[in-house]
Amino acid sequence: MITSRPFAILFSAVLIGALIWPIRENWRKKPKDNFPLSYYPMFSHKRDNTYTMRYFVGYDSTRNRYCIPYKYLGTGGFNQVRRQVRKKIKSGDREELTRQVAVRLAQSNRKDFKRLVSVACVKGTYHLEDYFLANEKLPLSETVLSRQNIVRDE
Amino acid sequence: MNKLLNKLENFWFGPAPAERLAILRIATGGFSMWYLLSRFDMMERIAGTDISMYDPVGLAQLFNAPLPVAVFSSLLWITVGLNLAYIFGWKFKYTGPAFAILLLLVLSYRNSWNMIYHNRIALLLHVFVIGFVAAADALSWDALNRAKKGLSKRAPHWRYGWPVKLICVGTVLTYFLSGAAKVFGDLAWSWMTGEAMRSQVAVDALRKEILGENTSPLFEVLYPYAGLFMIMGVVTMILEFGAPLFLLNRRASMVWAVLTWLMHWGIFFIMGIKFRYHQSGLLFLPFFEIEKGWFWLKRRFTDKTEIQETGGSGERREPALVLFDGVCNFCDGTVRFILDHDTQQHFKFASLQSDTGEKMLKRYHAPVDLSTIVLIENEKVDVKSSAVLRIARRLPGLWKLLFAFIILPKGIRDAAYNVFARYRYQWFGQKAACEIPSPEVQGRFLS
Repeated sequence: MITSRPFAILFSAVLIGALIWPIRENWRKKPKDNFPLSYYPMFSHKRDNTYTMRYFVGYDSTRNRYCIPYKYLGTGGFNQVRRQVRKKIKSGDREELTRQVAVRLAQSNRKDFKRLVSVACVKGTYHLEDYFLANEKLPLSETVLSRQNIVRDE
Repeated sequence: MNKLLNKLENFWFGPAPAERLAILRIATGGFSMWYLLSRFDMMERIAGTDISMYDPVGLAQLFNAPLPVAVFSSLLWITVGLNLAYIFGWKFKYTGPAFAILLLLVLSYRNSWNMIYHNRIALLLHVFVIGFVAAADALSWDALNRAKKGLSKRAPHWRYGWPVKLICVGTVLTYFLSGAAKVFGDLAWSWMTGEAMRSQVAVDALRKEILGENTSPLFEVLYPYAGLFMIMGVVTMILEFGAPLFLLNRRASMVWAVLTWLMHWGIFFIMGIKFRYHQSGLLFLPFFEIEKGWFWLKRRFTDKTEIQETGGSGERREPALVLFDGVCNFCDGTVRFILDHDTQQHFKFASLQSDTGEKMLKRYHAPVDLSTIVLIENEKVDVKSSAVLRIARRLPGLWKLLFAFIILPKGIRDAAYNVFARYRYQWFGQKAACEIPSPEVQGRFLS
């Protein structure tokens, strides 16, 4: 326990120094965030009018589209799963991930998901203003990265 | 330079009541307990997921590979146990640091699965500081044991003040870093135009819609109004990048705390992002004299007991002590005035020159200056104009209206007080020695 002034000064100086230290990441070519000594990069990236992301789309027998919620894609909170999906796809595990999602969808009790016959891992680009202001909910472009049929036990 | 260092030292090591730190201990401990218990299953599940997702951060970097789930579960249980000891202040000398380190380890591990949750950093920072300082000298098991042994209650001391200051500095630094990442990163100052913020919010909403997470209904209402995002961009940048400046003045820091708290609620309503520690207000407690609420509750409880005991005949407060210049005619007249008007006998008195006066000044780290009137009330020390106004508040009739002047900045009030104090001997005269009080009021004076 810190009960002397010199230790209190030392503890304060070290802690303040440690907290401010990550600021140098802002000037690095490849900054890396850490915990708990973070440089708080959230919301600091420049965004264009369009946004590209990787996600999963389910299809029924008449080719209607269904967005697959993150809870079918991995474990953890929404942002954690999103980042896990991106990492897995980038590292080449997309086939395995799509297979796992297909298995989870086959076991799903959601009524509308019982109609799904296949699921695809895709990379899609959306126009933000069109999406939210003009209600254009379809992507400007979409590339299928992998696809799996959903097989249910009868 | 020396003057600046002295000023800094006086600021950093200003005394505070033990209760302030103790309340922070209970508040942070309560929140971390809620967090650990409500996330227990999820943390276990994450620890058992695909090891390719393991990307260690913080203390978890000690482990190159993920821990077996059973080991992590055991760590979690030990952390919960220590969390309980931390809240109750049981053997805090050992359990405080142990809990701080284990919480750092557990939270580092939880954030080592490809996602850093920045909203947990502040909690960890607070626990880390509190765990290593004398935060269990009041409202704790340890304090109860001290009382049982007949040891006296701890008086306000610098060791309860500096940790709170460190927490405040650490807290504003986290916001400053967040602002700096925007200014020094890709965005530069474009955040101020609101366009960058608007795009960030839209990207977040898009991700949520596509990945089946709830979006805030307010977002679609506000999104068309780009000008609104400009105002929000400027305000958030002031609160983040400018955060350290608010610490230069105590009131400004409180205003910052309230505005930042509102900002988090704004983020919640527009983006649906929950910062529970921030939104609950717990993050901002160190910016306020939170012990006042505790003293108020305590007094109310004590008063009620006394009212019941006396059959509702009245209420009684802890007596407050006024330290005054015993050789100054004006001060002497002021004391007589208070004695005449203090019908509830709330105040006791001692001259600054008396043994009691000197002892109390030392005990409460109050300035040793004959021109300074000192009021010690509920373990809190007020000097100069603040002391005068707080005394007036306890007087009957219109005198208590003088307390309204407390809203003026302390610097202005004290400047006026200083002018008056400097010429008090000249204007009202001086006695050769402290006067002995008359027998009827002798009980109100501490020798």
